[in-house]
Amino acid sequence: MARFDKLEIGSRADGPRPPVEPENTERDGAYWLKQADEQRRTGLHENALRFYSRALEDDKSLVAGWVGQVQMLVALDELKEADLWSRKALELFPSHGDLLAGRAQALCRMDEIKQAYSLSDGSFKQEGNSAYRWLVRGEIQIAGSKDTDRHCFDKAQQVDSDWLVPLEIAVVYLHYQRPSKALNRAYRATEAAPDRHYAWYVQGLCQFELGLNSSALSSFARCIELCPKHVEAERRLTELQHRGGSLRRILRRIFGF
Amino acid sequence: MQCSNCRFENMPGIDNCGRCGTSLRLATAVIDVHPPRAGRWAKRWSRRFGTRRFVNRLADWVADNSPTLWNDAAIPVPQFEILWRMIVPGWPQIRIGRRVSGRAFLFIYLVAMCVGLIFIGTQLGSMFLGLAFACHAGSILDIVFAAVEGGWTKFIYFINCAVAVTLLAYFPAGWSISRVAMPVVIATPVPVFLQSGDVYLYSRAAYYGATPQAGDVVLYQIPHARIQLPANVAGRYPAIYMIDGERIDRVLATGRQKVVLTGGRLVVDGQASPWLPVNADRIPRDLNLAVTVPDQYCLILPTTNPQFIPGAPPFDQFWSQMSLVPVDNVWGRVYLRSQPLGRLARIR
Repeated sequence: MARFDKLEIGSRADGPRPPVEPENTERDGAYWLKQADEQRRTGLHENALRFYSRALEDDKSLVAGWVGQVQMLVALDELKEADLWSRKALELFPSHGDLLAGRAQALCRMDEIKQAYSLSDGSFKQEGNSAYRWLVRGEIQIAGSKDTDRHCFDKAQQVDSDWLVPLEIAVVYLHYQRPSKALNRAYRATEAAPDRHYAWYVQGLCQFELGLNSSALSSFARCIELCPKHVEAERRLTELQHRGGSLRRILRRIFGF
Repeated sequence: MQCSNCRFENMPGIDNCGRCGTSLRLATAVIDVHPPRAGRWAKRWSRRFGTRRFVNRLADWVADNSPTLWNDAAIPVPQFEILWRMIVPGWPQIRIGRRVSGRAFLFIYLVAMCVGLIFIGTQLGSMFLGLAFACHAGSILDIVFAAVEGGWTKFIYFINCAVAVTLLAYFPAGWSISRVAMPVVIATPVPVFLQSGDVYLYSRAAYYGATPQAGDVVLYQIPHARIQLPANVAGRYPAIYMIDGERIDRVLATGRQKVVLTGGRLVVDGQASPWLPVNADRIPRDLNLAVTVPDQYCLILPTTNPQFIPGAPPFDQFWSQMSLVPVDNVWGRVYLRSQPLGRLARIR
């Protein structure tokens, strides 16, 4: 409008504006799936869940969205809801391997190990292969106190060489209080993706649990360097800096349990 | 029409993919894509107390260690889920989908149990309680016979389940109820208060950590006594009375209180007592008592003693002896006359 031409808000007074890129990206289901994946790689499971839901609003046939929702519900510790949602998704996509694995993971965390085993077996019988099925299998092995978890997790990394896979394996180990095994996997994730703050954060957590204070400090510091507003990393840093001695920690460092 | 899941090409007009079964109408279907979320308190609770870890491990242990008798085709529900539901009659049947029979078992059990408890202490009550237990056993038998294979195996399995239910449910329940509502049936009438067939409920738990107080109507063990009467007093022949057994009567005084009874008036510690025995008319008018109730004793005049011995010397000494009851001989506080229903009354 002509009457607003004389107003000096922004553009002329402050110098030339950077060119605005045209919005070529169509915000369809695939776009939201990508956003969800990105949020997942930063450890923001709640946001990832929302983006998966947005993707499904656009296209309900995106099975990756359903699988992602179940995975995020498990990551957020909402296990009954994850079980319920995976059952609903399986009504729409009967016998989908990743959905069966998702339900198995939820049941495994609810300590229904037998049912989790049978669902995991079912997921392997379906078409296709994914790192997630092997990851869930490895988790069930840990929960069932079996020794073959390492084999399953190695298989998962063979199937998918993405850096997120060893990181999610580390998170699984941390959930079952195996920080030393988790640290091993977290190292692989940080080697594969040294520019990802979430990998450094998880590595720091593993070192924190093991009582490796100086290593944990540097991991959290690196995480904050990459993501200055990482609240959890800052909290852990503060806690480490004020940490006193503890008999449990000393014993853990000596005997390595 | 290509399936979005497995990329199989289906014929147009089909609802589900012929290969993987995925619905081909997903794009147009009205489906909620937002998952349910746990409440904040639910998440805090599960973080603090975990999931049903112990119960699930127990279920797995039962499944691993019990003999493989379960007929999965007939009862497609995990064994442990049926076993623990046997505590309630009809619940296993409802769980496996046999709602009609399950509800029938439950209804009959509840009716029989309610009638049995209302008429507890009477023959009718005993019959209905027996019917309730039989209904419960029938419910267990029904599910075991459907689920377990083998002839004698079924009976052994049923007996094991019945014993387990008895030990886990009925014993604790029976013990708990017996602490607060134990029936006592009056066989020998003692007018006016006690009539033949009356059922009174008394509570043992009333004196856990407490002692009987003046005014409480109690069930107690009367002090044992043997009274010999010469022929000129008893009638044609000498007589020996053995006083023993349980009585119901009111506590008039407790330990260390001074009691004086003259001319039918009761004075406790120098003050007129508001309490009288339940059959006060049976106290002889010429009875004179002056006692100090010892510690850990209470004074209960035996007015509900079926044997009435008038004029038996030493008269006052007999009443004095029978009235001092050790506290340990008091079984509980009587609080309700439950039968007959026409005389249903609180006892105060």
